[in-house]
Amino acid sequence: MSTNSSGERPLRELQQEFFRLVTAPLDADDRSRSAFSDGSSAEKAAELLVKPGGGFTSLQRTELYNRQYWFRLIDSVAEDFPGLRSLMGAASFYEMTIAYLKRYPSSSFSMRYLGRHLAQFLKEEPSWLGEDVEFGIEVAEIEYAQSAAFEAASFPALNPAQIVAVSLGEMTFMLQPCVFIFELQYPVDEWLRSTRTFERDASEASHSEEACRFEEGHERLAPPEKKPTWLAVHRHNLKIYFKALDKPQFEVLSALKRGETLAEGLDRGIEALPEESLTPKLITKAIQGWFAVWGELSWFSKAPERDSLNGIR
Amino acid sequence: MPANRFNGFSDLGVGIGLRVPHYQHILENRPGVDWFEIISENYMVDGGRPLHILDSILEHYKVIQHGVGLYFGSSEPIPRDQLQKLKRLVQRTKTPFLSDHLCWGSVDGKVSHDLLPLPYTMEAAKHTAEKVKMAQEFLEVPICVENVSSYAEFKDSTMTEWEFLSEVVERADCGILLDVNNIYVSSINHRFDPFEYLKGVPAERVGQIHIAGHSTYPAYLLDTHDHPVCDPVWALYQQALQKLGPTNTLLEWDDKIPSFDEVHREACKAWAFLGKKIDVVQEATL
Repeated sequence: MSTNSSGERPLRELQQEFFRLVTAPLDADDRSRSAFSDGSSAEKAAELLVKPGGGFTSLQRTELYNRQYWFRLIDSVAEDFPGLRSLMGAASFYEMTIAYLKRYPSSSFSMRYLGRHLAQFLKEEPSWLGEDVEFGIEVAEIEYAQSAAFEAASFPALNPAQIVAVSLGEMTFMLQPCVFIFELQYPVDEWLRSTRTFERDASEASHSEEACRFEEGHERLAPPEKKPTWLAVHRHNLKIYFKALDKPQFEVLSALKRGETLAEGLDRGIEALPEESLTPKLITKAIQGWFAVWGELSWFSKAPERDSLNGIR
Repeated sequence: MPANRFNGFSDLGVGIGLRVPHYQHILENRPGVDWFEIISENYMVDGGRPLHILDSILEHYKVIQHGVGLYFGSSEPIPRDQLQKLKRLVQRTKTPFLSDHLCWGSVDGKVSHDLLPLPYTMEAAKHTAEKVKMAQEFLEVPICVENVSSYAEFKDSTMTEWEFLSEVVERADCGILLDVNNIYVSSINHRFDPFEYLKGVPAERVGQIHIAGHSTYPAYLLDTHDHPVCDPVWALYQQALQKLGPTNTLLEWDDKIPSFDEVHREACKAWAFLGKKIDVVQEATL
């Protein structure tokens, strides 16, 4: 580490070294390790930076930050992924979360985005899920969508007359950002309903050191049988819901989510209808039914204006 | 000096932190509270319940923003999108000023979500002050920086914490959110005289005071915001008011949160100090 003429370390270098101490994995007793994972001495690194005192060594002084870092972040991930934790068991989830945060440390001012790469991480490291790889990844995707839907934007919904105008090609529109669409191999919604409540509330910023909430003896819950599932995770009246879809509905909605036109989306939906439904009358009935329900749920809006940032640049 | 340019000339009285467990009670009963402080980051979202609740609160109460994520002391710039989100919230709440901590928390794009202590050096003071100035100009509201509680001191420090605080706020021309509980916690952890700290604070820049409870461990104190305010902190608060005059005061209670009424009762104890006719004494006599 370099120093200036006064013997001080450049601020960035000092912060990099302190951050290394703060984010180093804890030992089995949740204490700071005396060495980093590359074998270099954490004790010496702390001694270079931090004054000892009050009966504490330099490393013991940084330990409190080290412990708080892991406790706070692991608690936050656990709060957002209770289903995944139930599937993996508490101990395995704890270890996996540490590995995840080492590869994907937080890069946002808010802890609410901590889990955004978790499904990707599990695809990269499937061994964490043992036999339940596909199901575990789906649970991670759905639980993150619940968090995202809780506070995603929503815009004034289109009324039925406006939806008719859309169907006539007179207006462009979009699926609300607080609606997320999934095609799954497992009935994740049914499983999550059977294992926990899923209503979300805002998290609080806190600076307290708390023991991690990983009770001993937490039972692993078995995954369900495979069953093709199409699902919307959405917010309605400020609460998060699951809405079961069928394959044609999924095709229409996911096309709209991708930004395709209504006509393109409807083509995809019609293609997915069972053969016995492919009469003009039944197709019309199906489409009217879909849009009646989706309209009631306020899933459509006009695309937002470009100046929706209030001119903040 | 209750109202000054650092708190948007606001004379607010005693406030309480707005917390999720109290939402329903507040909206149903509309208790008589002077103002609520929100954690900005909890409402820097695009929609949903947090903003719905906030808008309902704003219909009836004054709201002041307090942040935990600007990290003025981090060596890297504050991300632009974060500032834009914060500015949108400022426009929504019409907060007369906002506050965040005199600390750092991220490096190389990685975020600790903690309020990490700074080395008290001139380089750090200049760098931190520049970032506060830039944020203040962008957000177009006065900023008060809050002293944090800390558990480690850097060997590189060349000044005391209160000298560092003064250096930063003078250079940035910003205000101070004086957390008397944090002064007390750090004074025990680092063995300095908290009243000495108070003497060193530029009184004319204090826009708000925080009071809170902490946890006591055998060898140190931890700033947990999960207890009532202890007597030594009330004593320090009283001394601060003697120096500053009646000042906007906020009770923080962030963990193991009791009923709204209990938090409110604890906050109202501050009135015993604020409500007294307190003669503002000159710094020299403190």
